[in-house]
Amino acid sequence: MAIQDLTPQLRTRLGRLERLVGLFVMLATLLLLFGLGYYVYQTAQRKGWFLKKMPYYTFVRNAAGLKVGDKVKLMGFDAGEIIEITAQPPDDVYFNVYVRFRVKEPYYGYLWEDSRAKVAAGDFLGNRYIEVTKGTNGSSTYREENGVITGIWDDKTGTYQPFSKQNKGYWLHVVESPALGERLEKVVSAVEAALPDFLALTNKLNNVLTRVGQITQHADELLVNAQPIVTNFALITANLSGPKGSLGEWLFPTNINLQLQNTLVSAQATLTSAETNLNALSGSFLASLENVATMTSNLNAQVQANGLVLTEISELIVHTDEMVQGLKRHWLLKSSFGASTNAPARSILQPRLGGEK
Amino acid sequence: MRVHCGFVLVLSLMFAGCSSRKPPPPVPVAMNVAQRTAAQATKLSESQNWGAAAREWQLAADRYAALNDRAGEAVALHNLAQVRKELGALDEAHKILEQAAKLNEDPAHANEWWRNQIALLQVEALSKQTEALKSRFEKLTPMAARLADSSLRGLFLNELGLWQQSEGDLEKASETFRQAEQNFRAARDELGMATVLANQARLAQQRQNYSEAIIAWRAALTKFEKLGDVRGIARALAGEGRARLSEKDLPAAEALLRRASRNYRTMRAKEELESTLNALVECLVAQDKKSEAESVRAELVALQKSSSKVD
Repeated sequence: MAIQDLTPQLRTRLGRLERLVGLFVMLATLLLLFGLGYYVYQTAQRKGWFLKKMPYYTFVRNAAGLKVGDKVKLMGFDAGEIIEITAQPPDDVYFNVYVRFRVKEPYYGYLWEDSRAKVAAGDFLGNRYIEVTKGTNGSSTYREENGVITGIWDDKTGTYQPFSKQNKGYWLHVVESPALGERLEKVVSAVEAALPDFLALTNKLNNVLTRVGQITQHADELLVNAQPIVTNFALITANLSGPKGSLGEWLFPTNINLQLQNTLVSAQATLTSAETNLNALSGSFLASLENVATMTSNLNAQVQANGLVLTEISELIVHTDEMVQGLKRHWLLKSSFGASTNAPARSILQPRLGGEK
Repeated sequence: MRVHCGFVLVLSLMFAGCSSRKPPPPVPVAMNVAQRTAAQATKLSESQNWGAAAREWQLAADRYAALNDRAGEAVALHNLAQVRKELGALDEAHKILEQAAKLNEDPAHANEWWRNQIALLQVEALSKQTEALKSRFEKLTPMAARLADSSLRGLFLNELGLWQQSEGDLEKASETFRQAEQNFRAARDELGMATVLANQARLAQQRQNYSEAIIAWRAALTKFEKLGDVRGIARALAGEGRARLSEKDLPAAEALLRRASRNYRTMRAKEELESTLNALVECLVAQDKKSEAESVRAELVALQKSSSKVD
């Protein structure tokens, strides 16, 4: 029905309704725009779009584990991000990879002349990250006056030079450590190198134990052999207290003397052998201990460098679980997931076949 | 105007549709542990790991009891009794089922109580407690008319039919099985229908109506195959083999009995294997296959020897 066919009253009412709907739509649109603006503002604040970001660059041996967009850390904070990674020209004999990054306000104020860009191992997957160190001495890398960057420090001249947008930034010297995988490989190599020493040590221990067994056997024989001597000593002392009172009649018989001499020579040889073995053993043991100390020191360095890895993995798992649980409840996706695994138990009852035993 | 209305409608639909369910309130730890134990026990029962299932159901029953969850405890006890039944401890299973039934005496748990009663009927039938079985049927039969659950009524009628068959009342048993089949069909209980078909086939065989028995065994076999019920398949093969032996269709009977005995051998079901091998010997002798009959007899002797050793 055309609008002209309606009665004036109906037209008036319809026009009023249309105005109301139009007002509602306008309000909704304004609310939507306000919400969008607020969201953009919050995102900008969170991501630091309104903050000043100053460029820096450094040179590394290897670009493995680094990528554009990775965060740059300072004292544990996300201070900036990598914006460029390029290989140096082939004829550059000093540097391999050029890495440019930006540090945002207020963190660039911590970077002075002696600040360094440390490239550290990030995780067990071979990733690395750049951490800039806080300056302790010298001039700050940028000069700022009344909130405006007016100069960049020039190491050659020892003065501030005017700063422009075309400037590629301040050069931070690099302290580069290999990726975790490479370091783990070194640890494994050290363990591998130490293994022969351990095996030699166990062999030597075995020899020493064998020798000790022989010594005890000899000592036992010695004691058995010494028994007649003791008996004779007892006789001698008895005779010494006797009426004759002299040693003349009770001189050692020749066979006992010879036996004693043989025993003493054998004991001396055994002791010399034991001493040699003990010296060799202590030498090997010392070398092994040094290897173990190197290994534990390496492991300690790894743990120190990656203290947060396990926490981050754990958080990742927890967040992934939360995300999946959230998806399970989402109106669009919840039908894709099965029922809860902890459904209440049901009593089992099956029909019986006749003649079953 | 129409455009505006459409826009408002789409917006309202989006806002209403986009709301996702809130996270459910966390289940108390003890309750969660009990439920998980029961779920684990169910898996063990399904995989026929009876020893482990018995331990897990006992643990679940203890945990539900600690929570004063009588319904959960009764379910755990019922399933523990089923496991004990599978392990051959029929007296113990009977005792546990009585406990479960006592816990389910509340009218709100009527269906669970019926499940306990039907399980008790099965245990009493297996342990040949004729008097107890008779009095229980006398008690339950009048009440069964009020049973609303078709599946449960089918289960009860199946037991009643088997009882009537064992008592020699074959006419009544046939009618009861027919009613049981109807109930299972209404409940869309495929296993129930397959079992009743097998029981009807057995009844037809007892009445020496072998052609009807063969048809019923074949129908039961098809259903058991669809369900992947290994025990039912072996039973249907052996049943049809026996029916064909009685019909003197000897080559077909031999093939079926051989397949059934092979399956029983795999399942290590000694008693069923023994009776199937006996039928196979009879079939082979009827075909004058003396050497093959001898080798099957030798297997039977070895089987009986191993059974007596175990005893």
